[in-house]
Amino acid sequence: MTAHDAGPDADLVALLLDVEEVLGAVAWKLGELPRGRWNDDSQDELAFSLLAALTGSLEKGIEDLNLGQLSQIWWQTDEAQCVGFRAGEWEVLVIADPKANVGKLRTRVAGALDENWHLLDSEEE
Amino acid sequence: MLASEIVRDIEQALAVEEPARGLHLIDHLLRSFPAHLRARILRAKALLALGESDEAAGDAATVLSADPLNVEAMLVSAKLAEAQGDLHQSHAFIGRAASVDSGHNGVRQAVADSVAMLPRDPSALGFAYLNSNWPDLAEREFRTALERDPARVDLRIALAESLWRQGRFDEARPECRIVLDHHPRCLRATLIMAHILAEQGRTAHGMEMLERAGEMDPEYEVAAELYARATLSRMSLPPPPSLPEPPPFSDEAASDVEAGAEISGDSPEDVFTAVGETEADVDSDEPQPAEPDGDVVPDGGDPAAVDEVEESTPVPDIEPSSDRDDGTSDAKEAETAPAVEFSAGWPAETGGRLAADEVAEEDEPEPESTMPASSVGEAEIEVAEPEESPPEAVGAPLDSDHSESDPGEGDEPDLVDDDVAAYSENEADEIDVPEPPAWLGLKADELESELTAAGEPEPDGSTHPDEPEAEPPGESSETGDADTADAFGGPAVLAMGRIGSWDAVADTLAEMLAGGDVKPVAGLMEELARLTGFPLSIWRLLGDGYMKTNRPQLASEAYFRAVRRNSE
Repeated sequence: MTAHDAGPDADLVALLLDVEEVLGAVAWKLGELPRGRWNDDSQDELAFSLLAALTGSLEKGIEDLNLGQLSQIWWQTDEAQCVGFRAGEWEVLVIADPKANVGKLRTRVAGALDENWHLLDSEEE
Repeated sequence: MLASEIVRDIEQALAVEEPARGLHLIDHLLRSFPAHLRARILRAKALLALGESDEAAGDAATVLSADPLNVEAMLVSAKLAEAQGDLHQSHAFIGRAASVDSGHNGVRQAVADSVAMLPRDPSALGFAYLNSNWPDLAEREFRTALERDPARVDLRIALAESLWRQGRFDEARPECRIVLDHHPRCLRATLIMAHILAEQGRTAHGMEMLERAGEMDPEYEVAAELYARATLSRMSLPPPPSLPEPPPFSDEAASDVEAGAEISGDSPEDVFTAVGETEADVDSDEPQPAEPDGDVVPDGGDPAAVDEVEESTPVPDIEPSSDRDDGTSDAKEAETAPAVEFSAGWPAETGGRLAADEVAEEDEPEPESTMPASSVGEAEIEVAEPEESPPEAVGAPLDSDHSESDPGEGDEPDLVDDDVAAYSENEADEIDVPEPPAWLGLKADELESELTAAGEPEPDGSTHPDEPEAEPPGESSETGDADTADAFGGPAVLAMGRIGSWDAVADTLAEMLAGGDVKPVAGLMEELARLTGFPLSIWRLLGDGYMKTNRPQLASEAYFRAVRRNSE
């Protein structure tokens, strides 16, 4: 479950990690395993699996409440902030420094995804 | 057949409202393991369903005495209190159960069905912290709660566990000792003490206590759960013993049971109180006044104790229960006979109490007089263990040698220490024992060659750790072979887990999950998680399985369990 593996999700994670101020990123397609990586390899990748599952769980809950489908998400703690996007069957989360400007971060991540839409469009895993 | 398999059948019988069949199976189980706590609580439920309130209360009290944190026993007691119109007591039980495990389905139901409020006190917070693996915070809350109510044995056990989980063994030990002083058969305190002893290099004594715990929990499910949280552990749990298939259930037996004809004969308290534990121990959390030291007779010599054992021994309790069965049960007599002997003597009970004394006495010069007195003598009388040989490491030193080497020191706390000394001095030859059981600390790869291939993971009950040759013959297969697992499914994986081949388990589970069938794997992992050494990282596989099937809620639960590894 690392971005070192080949595949569009690995490429997507590598792409997101190149975005300024991003500390870690995870991407997954519905019904697939999340793949994530920290810029600093010392941290546990299991965190990404859990974050992906929690986000998916939140999404489901929101849907079950008939509040629609989650398209963006943001949360912040004293140690990190997270910006997430859903794009079709794909979902990405990026973890950034809490001091990062969330507006710029969001714009950069969205821009990176827009420019590399082919990665999200791929049928292969 | 494993006890847990019978327990499952019992649960199934109770679930489909066949309490008579459930009781039939429970009788069978209790014949082999008279102190089996799970069987006792199930019997309490079955009896409750049949309206046998008194017997149900006895079983529930017995279980609470041995496991004061047993939520199900609390709930049964709550129902019984409610049936007697004592709503205050009923709510107290529900509240206590909710403190221990507010997420328990039965607790939720009980709270919903009653006007009991969920507790918001330090004890509830302590249990919440403990369940969340924050033992340091839990310790703080339990100390606060104990300041308010020092007699709460359940809180003291929890405090001991909090300290123990932090690796503060020297502080946990006296707390365990206090609990064992008043509830000598307290399962958790026994297990924690066993672990501490083993970690402090006294493995034989640790194993002795573990053996005692095994009578209440033959498959060491509680031990596995508890030890999985230990910071380190030398303890290696023995393989689960097997027992004969239950005799067929007949309607006659059912009608007998339903009529309540013989249930009362099998008084549960007797099993636990036979060796001198006061009834108050069973009924109350209050520390009981201890018997004076002077009652202790070192060498099987307390005639009163002997009489007490003979009078209150559960032998007649066990035998009548067999009458409840149909004729086929006679055929099993030979097999069950040892169990009768076992229950009659309660060697482990007494030995266990001796161990508790021993533990309590060894390090601390405090009043050993608080320990129940008669147990020592009884231990020596009854040490002859019928079928479960493991206690030999316990039995032999207590058995004969002790009585000869320590005459006249009966009422001294040093008695046990002397015994221990004799044990270690004679370790090599004089006594024909005390090598620590072979399975203590046995590595997985060593065990691998002992266990049979995947189809028969459990050695039979007679297998002794010191005699690995006696284990069921079988090719010492390479358990990492995924083909084997494919052929045998869950049992094979469990067998791998039991011998510690966790890499093979992980590989096999990953293969199973790749097939897309997550649910059976989830059940299997719950079973595996009870085994010693279960790597929490394996939960990640289940999380992945759920993610692949688009069930993120379940995935997050599984990942949380894997993440707990990191926080530990």
